Amino acid sequence: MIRVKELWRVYHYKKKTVNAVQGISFKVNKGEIVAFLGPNGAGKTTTIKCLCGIIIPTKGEVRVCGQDPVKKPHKVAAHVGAILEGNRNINWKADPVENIRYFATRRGVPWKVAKKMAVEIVEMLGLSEKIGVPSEKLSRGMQQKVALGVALAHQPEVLLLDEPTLGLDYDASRFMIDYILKLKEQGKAILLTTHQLNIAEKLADRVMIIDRGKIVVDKTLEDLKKEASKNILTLSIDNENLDKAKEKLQDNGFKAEKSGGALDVQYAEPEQLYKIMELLKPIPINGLKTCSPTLEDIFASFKEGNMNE
Amino acid sequence: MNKLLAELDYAMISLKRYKFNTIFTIFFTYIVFVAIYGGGSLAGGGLGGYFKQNSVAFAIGYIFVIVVMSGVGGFAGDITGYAKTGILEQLFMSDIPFGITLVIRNIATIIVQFFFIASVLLLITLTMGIPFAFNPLHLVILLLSLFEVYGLGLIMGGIALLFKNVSSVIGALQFFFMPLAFASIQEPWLWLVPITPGAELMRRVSAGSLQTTDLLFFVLNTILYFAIGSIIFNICLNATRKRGTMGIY
Repeated sequence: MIRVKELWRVYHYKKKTVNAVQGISFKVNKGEIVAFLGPNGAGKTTTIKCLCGIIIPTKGEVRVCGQDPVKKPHKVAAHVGAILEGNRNINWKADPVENIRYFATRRGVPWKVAKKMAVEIVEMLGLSEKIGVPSEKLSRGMQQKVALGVALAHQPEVLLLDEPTLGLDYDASRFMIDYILKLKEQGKAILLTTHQLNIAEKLADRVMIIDRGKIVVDKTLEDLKKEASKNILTLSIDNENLDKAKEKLQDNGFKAEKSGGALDVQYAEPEQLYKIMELLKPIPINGLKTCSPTLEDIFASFKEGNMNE
Repeated sequence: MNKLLAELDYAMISLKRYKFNTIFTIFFTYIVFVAIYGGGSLAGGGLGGYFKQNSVAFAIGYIFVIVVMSGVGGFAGDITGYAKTGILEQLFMSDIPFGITLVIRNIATIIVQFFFIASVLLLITLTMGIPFAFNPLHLVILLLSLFEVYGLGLIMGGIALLFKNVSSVIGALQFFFMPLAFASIQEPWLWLVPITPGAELMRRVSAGSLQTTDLLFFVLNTILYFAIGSIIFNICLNATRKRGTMGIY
């Protein structure tokens, strides 16, 4: 549904050249949610705007549903729904229904159908009570819901969501997550950028991390967690045995560190747990627990890695 | 037609939601005319007599000032407003080319403006005793004039896309164009300038001296300015996409 090949976007500003996006390539397939992560200024929004045709790439090839957004942005718009600047993407003077029916008609839905559909979408978004209320008077979460309604109204096959849950409270975020998952089930291809890694973790099938305009990671969440090799086993051991246990494990290639009255041991595969236990015999173990890395840990480790390069 | 209906609905949203502002704008435009025309016609000496003798021409000139203000500045103001509120990029994402959607949007705005200006004209003629002999051709010329001025508006809109805040330039241009509303065509080349032909034709209709060739020249003039406006707007739009600054304000 989305195909990007060797995309470059260079900005020139006051004799300075900024390579916002540097030769990135990726695909997003039908029924797939891809989280596009990266620090501020990494090139996420520029990439999304290139997909919409709002920004013309310096070099490279972009296809959305087989259409070229550079030459025919209107053909792309018919297939794409986008939240580009969160709640800023709607007409603040118009109420939710007015916003949705207007943008739906702009994207090819017949006026009569759009009128009917806008009311249905507003009901589905739980905003029926806000009909007649200008969007500027709605809460941020409600405005974000209207923006989602606007993005969905013409039933696009591709959704580009730039920070869809930014600034939302728990309930509104929960709603947005559930809704995006439903859209995935309907077969939509979804590319979302977010700074909220917990949101990406709940939604994404695949994670792409972009840093300084380059994609440094493009993997499924599962593979990423495996490769991050940072599963932690926390062992509760009596103080007098802690150093001995640490030494034994380190001598056998494990990374082990004391953490209060416990020992944190990193391992890559669950099978390694047997070996750890074997090595520690006969040191008494009072308790143990394991934890997998969160996307936040992984993201932090990649950032550290990049900074060290 | 679907798109035009949506644009008309959209244009009416603010008017309906902020009724007080809508009514006040019509009333204020009327009051300004009353103040200028009433003040002038009450003046002593030759000035008062001049105002009374040329009341129809003056009313038409005033109407064209409103046309200039709304056409030249309105669209660029809209573009700046859309960029400010972040809606411009969503408007760009339409299933037909952006330039065409803006033409449709302009038609909707022109229709709304047409009713606004017609209301002011009606108020003026009814209350100030101005002998404005209404002729359907007045409406045709007013509509064509709006198209012509919205062609200029598209140029301003394109410049607003590129440079964002152009309110000072627009203010200056509005004053530059205003005298054209009161000028008359005494030389053939004046058919090529904007605004003047429309105002002149309105006066000729009132005086019963309109000729078919006049109307033909004016239609060509309107097409010319609207086409130039559309071309320049598209050039500016593509330049903005290349610079990557569409949503930036």
